[in-house]
Amino acid sequence: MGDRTASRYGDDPVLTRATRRAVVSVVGAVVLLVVGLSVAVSLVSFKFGTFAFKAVGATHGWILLLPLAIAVLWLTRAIRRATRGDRLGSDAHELDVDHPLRVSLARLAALADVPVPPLRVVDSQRPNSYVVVEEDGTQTLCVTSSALEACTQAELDAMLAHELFHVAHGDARLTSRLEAMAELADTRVSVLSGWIVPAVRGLMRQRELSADRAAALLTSRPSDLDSAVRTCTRAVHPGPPDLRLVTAVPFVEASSGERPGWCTHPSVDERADSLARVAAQLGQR
Amino acid sequence: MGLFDSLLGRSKPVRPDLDNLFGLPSAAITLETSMGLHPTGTGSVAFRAPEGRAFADVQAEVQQLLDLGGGPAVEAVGDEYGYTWLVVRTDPPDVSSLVTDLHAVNTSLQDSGFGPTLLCSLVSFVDDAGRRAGLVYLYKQGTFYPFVPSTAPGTTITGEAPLRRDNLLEIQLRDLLVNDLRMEKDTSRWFAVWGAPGL
Repeated sequence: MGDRTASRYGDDPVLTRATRRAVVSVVGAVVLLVVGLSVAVSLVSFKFGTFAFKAVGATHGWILLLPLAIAVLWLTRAIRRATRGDRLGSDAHELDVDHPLRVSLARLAALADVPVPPLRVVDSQRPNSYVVVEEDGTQTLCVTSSALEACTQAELDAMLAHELFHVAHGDARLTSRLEAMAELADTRVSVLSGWIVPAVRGLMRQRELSADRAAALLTSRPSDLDSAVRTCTRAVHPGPPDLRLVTAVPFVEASSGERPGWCTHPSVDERADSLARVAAQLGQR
Repeated sequence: MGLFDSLLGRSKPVRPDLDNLFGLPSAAITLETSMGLHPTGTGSVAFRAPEGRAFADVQAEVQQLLDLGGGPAVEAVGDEYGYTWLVVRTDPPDVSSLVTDLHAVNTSLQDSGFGPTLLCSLVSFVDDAGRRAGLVYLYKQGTFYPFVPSTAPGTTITGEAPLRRDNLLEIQLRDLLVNDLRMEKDTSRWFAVWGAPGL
């Protein structure tokens, strides 16, 4: 893990602790899911072949591990299927080379010392931004057309910095894998989804808070990010959610009305609390 | 960077190589002899000032830091993207002392904890016809790239006068200076610096 103090910015112990807890519960969820799936496989095979299973099991003990192997295969297949990538539709267009947003993104990438990701504007009624993993593995940063209208330059900057964090850490891929896992739990061993889905979503919310913090530090303006969150959530109105956003780590929650533990994003107040800590840290410098 | 580092966000701080700045005087001679571009004597350092502080305060603080180390006088200018440019002037234009000053400004900012917010440094040039060109030093990468605003942008059909860059001249400058400076290979990092001081 290297030098613990080698963080580019100061540490946020609250966030680190919460992230560590979320990682542990996701690891627990994976174990739980594999066990759950193998139990499901065993139950099915016992139902249809009790006699054969017992007969073979007596002489070849290893056969009892078969359900476990099937469960692992099942899980890896679901995860692989989820990481095949999306194709951006024809409503995603590129911006002019010297468009202020592209210049902003290039500057932020230079600040963060990461490669500049491709940027697309997607027609949508909801102000939002997200990262899409395309079929060839490129992570493309998308901003919706209504975000360009609703947000100020400073707010857009903060959103770009937030998404840049997700690109740099491959969060879109991580999220789609975790979501595939949660979906498998929900459809195949629904008894367990009460544990697994909140664990997965908990980690996703931690990723959002980390991205917020990194963006606030990168832009040196926590309050711009806070107002961007508020602008985007204020303007989210009921309607069918954009399905692309389910696996694409959007800036604000793509749909509303989820159960508290099942939200993919922290609440506006939670995000504001975390940003206030950054502001305090910046003020001390 | 391991999985945990990635999740907990422990990226190592960048160690910038400010010494690359000292290649600028020889690059200035190359520009003078090959393209007729003279230094304007203006240089600047861009960074993101923390919110809630006025330019005057930032300028005063940085000036204080520079005075401690015997550095130059600076002037703080804001731009439309939210960056603060600290401008250093030499009159008559002298690239060597300008580079020393820019180095001092960068080091002071770095030592006082502004390192992560440092974006770039810029030195500008002008030829007899008034065409301007800038050499941008990317702080985090330690590389340079040229920025040349186009002198003949024209207007679009709707009558707007768009901002255009002279990409061909930029590429020529890159190829010209490749022996004097470490040039940035990835052109997607060549962001525009419209309205930067000295351009």
